[in-house]
Amino acid sequence: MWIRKRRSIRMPAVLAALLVAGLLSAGAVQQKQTKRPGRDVRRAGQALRFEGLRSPSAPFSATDRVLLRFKPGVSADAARAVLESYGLRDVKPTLRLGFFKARVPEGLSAGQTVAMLRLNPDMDYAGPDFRTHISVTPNDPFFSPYQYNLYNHGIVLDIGPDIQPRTKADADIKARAAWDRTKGSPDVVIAILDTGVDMSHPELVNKVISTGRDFVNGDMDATDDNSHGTFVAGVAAAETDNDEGIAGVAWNCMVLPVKVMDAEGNGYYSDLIDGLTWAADNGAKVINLSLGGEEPDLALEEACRYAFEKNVVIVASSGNEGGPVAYPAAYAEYVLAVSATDYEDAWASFSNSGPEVDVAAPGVYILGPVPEWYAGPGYLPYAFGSGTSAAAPHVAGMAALLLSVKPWLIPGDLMNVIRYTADDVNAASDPGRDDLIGYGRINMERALVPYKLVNTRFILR
Amino acid sequence: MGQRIRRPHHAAGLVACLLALAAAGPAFSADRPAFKSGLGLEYLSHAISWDEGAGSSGFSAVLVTARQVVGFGSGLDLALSAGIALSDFDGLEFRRLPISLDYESGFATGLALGAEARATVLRSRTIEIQAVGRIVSSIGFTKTWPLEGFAVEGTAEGKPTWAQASAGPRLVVKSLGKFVPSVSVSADWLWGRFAMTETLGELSGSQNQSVKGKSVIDIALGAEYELSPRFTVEGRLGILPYSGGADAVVSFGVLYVFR
Repeated sequence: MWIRKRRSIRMPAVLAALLVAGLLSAGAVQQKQTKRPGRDVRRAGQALRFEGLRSPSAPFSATDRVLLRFKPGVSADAARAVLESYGLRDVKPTLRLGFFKARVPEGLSAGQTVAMLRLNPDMDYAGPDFRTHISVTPNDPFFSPYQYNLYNHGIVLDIGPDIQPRTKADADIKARAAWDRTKGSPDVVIAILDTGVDMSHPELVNKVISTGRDFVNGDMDATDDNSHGTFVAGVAAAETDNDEGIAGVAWNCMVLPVKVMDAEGNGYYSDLIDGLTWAADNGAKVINLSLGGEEPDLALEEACRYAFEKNVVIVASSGNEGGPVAYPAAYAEYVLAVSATDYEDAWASFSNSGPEVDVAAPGVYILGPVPEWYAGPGYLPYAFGSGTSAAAPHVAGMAALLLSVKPWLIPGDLMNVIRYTADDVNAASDPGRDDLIGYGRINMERALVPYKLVNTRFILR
Repeated sequence: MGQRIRRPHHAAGLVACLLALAAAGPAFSADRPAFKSGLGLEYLSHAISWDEGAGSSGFSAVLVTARQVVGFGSGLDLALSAGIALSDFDGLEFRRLPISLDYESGFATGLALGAEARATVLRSRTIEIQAVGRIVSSIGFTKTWPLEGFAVEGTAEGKPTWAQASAGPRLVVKSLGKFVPSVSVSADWLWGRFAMTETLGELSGSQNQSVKGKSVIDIALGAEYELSPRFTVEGRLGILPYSGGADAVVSFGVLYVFR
């Protein structure tokens, strides 16, 4: 289905400036962080096109039909008569193989019908006519044409007249297969420590659990006055399958806004430290830090350890300066450091690198929400952003999905699940863990869909 | 959500009671051979539940065993068996491991050990009523699977153990010469545990998945036939109904009679 929109997505130019924003000097008592959603691109005012697919609403196995076969020697007419005598409806043969398909009698389930039919001595096979399904595809209109990061089917990213890269199929985080397993639990809260969150944005209005905490202005209203935090929150957990905008990684998980950076995208370590401990004390299971500073700091490390020991998973962007991994991402013991890959699964050269990098996630031309006031009149409140800031919330969302189905996992184990299930997308040039993408680009399917133990070998003990 | 799984330890107790009952049974049958030896083949299929009833799947096993039957001469027969069990737990899920696992590996091999007691409690010229108690168990060998496709090497190790017990009356018809049919109704219990350990890099986890059979009644037809004074064959077909389906047990045996 093609639908025209009058408004279009605008590039948030301020985000581009953030890529090169300065960091506080090394000797400062209070050090500033710089957020880094780097390059953003403008989309000209042209019509958007999109198509949506509905996911099945019933459980996959739920069915009102059965599949049957009689033993040899029972004629088709006799078989049909027998089945209709049971009250089965719409009895029809399959094209080949001698099976019949039929709807179950009124008032009986498929299981009850099968149990009844199996008592018939002439019955060779009776089973439910299970439902097939496509992989979960949210109906958010921008999902298919723009969110290659979640599901990359090899598209041309129509970002603007002069920016139309072709994506490589499967260069994504395998979100659809993972969503078959879980769409997340509202009990799992992702704290977004950033510039705040636009809590009235359609993608987030039903996702924030409170107005959060603003450590910059010293109040309990973490409203975003920049756009960065809104973007990051949306990538991690935008409201999904709501016929609007984008899909988030963690459909049903919730967001706790914590403002630790000001309207310019700068902040102090002290606010970040307070934000970390406050989020850990106020229900966060995952903390996303799309920010960082160049300097190590004992208090910052202590704050990370505090949250880690309170069973909070901390995810941080590695930084966009093409240099060493920033802090707190560099605190390898407590924090998952995330670098960025692009729409072809190639390492994004702006990503900071080093031995602390754990994994990578898509971070180039990522579509996310921005405040309406930021987008401006005539534009939809969405923007494309590039940077490890955009990559980190993919991992935060993945961590939230994992905690939704395995709430007993401690942060260290959960971090290893994310690491070990990654795709080593640069294996051709750099096999194994490396300093650019760590263990690889995250793969949510491998982490969340059960591994099938099939027959291989056995040993006697 | 589901009911808590109760290990039916009382099954073993019931079997013991039947043995005691047999000890107090009727007089020694003079024409009963003292020893029989043979081979047995048994297939059993059970619907099982796990995760406290939240999950369910199928279980089947094939047992090939050597049997030794001892007649104590007072209406009591005691049979012991040992052999190999092939146990199939396909569909069993392990969700409490860091990486969830689904068992789809088919038959796992193990040792099979069993015991059966038959005690005559009532006898006439044409029929006999016996109390029968039986327990069979399998101790699986550890099976190892490599975990492939991950960034680090890993393995999963699984070891299934299970037991099935039944106890109940058996009506034997003795008026048909060498052909001795029987019908029995037994209480039936199946329980077990599948221990799975996962190691992947620095990750490790283990889960003991307890399983329980859904059916509790075994209605069976059986027969023995004396091929010769030395050889007897026997067979049994049991149906184990449960809510939503039925399980089955089929067994066949050949016994050599020592006189």
